[in-house]
Amino acid sequence: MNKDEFLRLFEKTLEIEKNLNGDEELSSIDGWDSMAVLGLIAIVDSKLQKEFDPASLSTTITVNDIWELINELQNS
Amino acid sequence: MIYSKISDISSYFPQKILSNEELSNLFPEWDISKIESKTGIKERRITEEGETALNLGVCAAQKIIDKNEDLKNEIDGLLFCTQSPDYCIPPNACMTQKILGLRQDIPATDYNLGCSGFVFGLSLAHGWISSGICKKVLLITAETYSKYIADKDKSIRTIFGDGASATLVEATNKKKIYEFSFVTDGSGAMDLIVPSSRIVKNKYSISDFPQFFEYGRTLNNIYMDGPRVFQFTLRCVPNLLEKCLSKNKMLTDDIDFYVFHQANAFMLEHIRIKCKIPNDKFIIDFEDIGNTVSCTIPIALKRSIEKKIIKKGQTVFIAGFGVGYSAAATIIKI
Repeated sequence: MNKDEFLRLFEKTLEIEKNLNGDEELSSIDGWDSMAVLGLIAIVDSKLQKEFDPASLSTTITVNDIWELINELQNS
Repeated sequence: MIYSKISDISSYFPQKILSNEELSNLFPEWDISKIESKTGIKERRITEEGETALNLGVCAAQKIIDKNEDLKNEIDGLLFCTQSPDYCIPPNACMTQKILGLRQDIPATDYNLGCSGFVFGLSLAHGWISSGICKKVLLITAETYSKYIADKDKSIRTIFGDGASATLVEATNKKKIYEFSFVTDGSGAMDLIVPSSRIVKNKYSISDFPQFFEYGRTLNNIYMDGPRVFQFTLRCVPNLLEKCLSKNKMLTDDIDFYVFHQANAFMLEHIRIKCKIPNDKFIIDFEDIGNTVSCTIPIALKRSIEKKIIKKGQTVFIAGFGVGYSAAATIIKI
């Protein structure tokens, strides 16, 4: 999964219209809630067949931070 | 060989409705359409003060007995699944025996399980029947999680509804309830918990367990780590399906319908895809009642049979999973 693919899937999860570029702060995104975390888990499960640890989100501030976690996971 | 079968299912709900509109008024930052699209729930039934799981369970059971008064003397086993019993002591099952006027020479017990509770209870009823202890077991599931939910805990309030089911399980000479598969994993105990009781008090401080105190919760309120419960489900359910099918020497094509615990629409859809279950074989029926914990499977079964979606003679795979962690699955013939 590349970053662009992730961003489009993440937009779908968040049910937002605008195109994310990754620099957005999570706290400023409408729809960033516990259901969106389930969405992230589902994206990683279906695309990478790996488990995404929701505890790792405690250090994330932007969408890019989440992408880095996911990218690390897919390269591990 | 004595086999067992489900011969009747009833349900009962409290009158009071909590709609998405009301939730949206309480939490204006939430968009109503998003609540529905993400959870698959439009409204849930909520008990009033004083209305309890015992009341709901008895009302569900009474609906079955009203069809045939002889059942009062024929029911020779009673199981009551709840995590919100009226009292710690005595069990709801004993009080239910008295209220329904059932025989006194029967085994009756409560058991404490959540979303896996119906299938687990079916295994107990099946065991009582196939071992010759009972011939007709009344299996009640009744839950009132709303009483544990903090007023400001919006994510949990959108999911859970109160309700009850009663299922009559009886002896038969044909195999109608097949082999069971189970998962028990206590490592997830803290992920769905009411962290205080009369026995365990103030064990968890806000500094060590801040999550128990978010959204206005106290230790007497229910806490759910939704993402972790979801992860358990993703790990557990595909394996449970495979093991149960293989134990019964069946393939996915042998199953006419799948009735999984109706947790929330998002979770169900993802699991359905992961388990490669066709959409038209996968029952989802809870938009007007929410996640009623141990009651979702019998209610969805009952409704699907009434709507003639599931027909007599068809083979149905049922699976419950959640709090504990605990999961159970089996295959039934309608």
